[in-house]
Amino acid sequence: MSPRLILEQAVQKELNLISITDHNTVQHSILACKLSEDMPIRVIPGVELTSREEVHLLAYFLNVEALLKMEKEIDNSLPEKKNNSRIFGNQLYYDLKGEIIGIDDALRQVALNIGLDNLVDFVHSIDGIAIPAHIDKDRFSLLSQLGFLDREANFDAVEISKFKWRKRKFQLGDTWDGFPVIAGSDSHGVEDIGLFFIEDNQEEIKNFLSLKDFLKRNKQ
Amino acid sequence: MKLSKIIDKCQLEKIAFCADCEIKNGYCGDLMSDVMAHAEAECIWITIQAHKNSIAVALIKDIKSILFTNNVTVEEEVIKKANEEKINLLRTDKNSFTVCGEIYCMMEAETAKD
Repeated sequence: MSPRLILEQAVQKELNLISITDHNTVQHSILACKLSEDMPIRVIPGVELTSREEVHLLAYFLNVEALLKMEKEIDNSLPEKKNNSRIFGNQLYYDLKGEIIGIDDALRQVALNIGLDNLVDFVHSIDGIAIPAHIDKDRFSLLSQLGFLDREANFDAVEISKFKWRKRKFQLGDTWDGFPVIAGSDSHGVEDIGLFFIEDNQEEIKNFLSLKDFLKRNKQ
Repeated sequence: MKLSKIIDKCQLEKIAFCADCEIKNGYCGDLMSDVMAHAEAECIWITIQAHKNSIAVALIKDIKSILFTNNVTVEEEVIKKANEEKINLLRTDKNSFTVCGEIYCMMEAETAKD
């Protein structure tokens, strides 16, 4: 999926604010940020990290510079193994126009050698937001790997699956064990984009800073 | 079998040693829900999961000793919590398979003696 295709689809579906959070890689999130400058959509730089405990952690940042600092930390913490495209598929690099320009051969479908709490601390040290991903799922989630949500943990929010969000009729501003709760579309193909989104009726969240502020105000 | 004997024979590193205790059995697992469901009280829990939540699981299950394998990094906060809660933390550079085998054989040999 090229960032251009994702953004065009998101604009067509009238989404206002999105983030591309690939697993342990940031280049397409950065491309999307650049592309969005000429498009009627806002993009928050982000990434989905895998902690040593194999907990997926969403991280969002103010700008591309911060995301590049995150990239450095990722590259220092991945095992020095090559991706096996037969198992995980090819990891393609696209350019701004949507042309394939290369293949990333690093093994990214694995855990970083950083514990969850330290990973959260790192994200915060570069002023990012750290949110455990799809905590209700039975794989790669905070609850599946670590059993329960510690109320003292330093997360800015928790993310649940879109299925849980719909089932429990969650709304923006709701909480889960004291943490603001969000959900993402978890789009893995262009056809998924726009099928799920969070409604922001008060139009409170326009960019990273207002998201950060919103989560801070809603954390109990 | 005394924990101190296991530590000695398997050459385990003591990260937090609060009190010697009697080890009645063992459990090996890295998923907290699995350990909560299957581990028995007063066992030695062998895992690579060196997160603060491991201490909480040990408390819930009345596990007094956790053995971290593969020489996994244990954060200061985890050690502090273990000391507060009187949970023994041990570590080895061996993997879980190897150290489980060693401890299992020791415990079997001791049972056979009785």
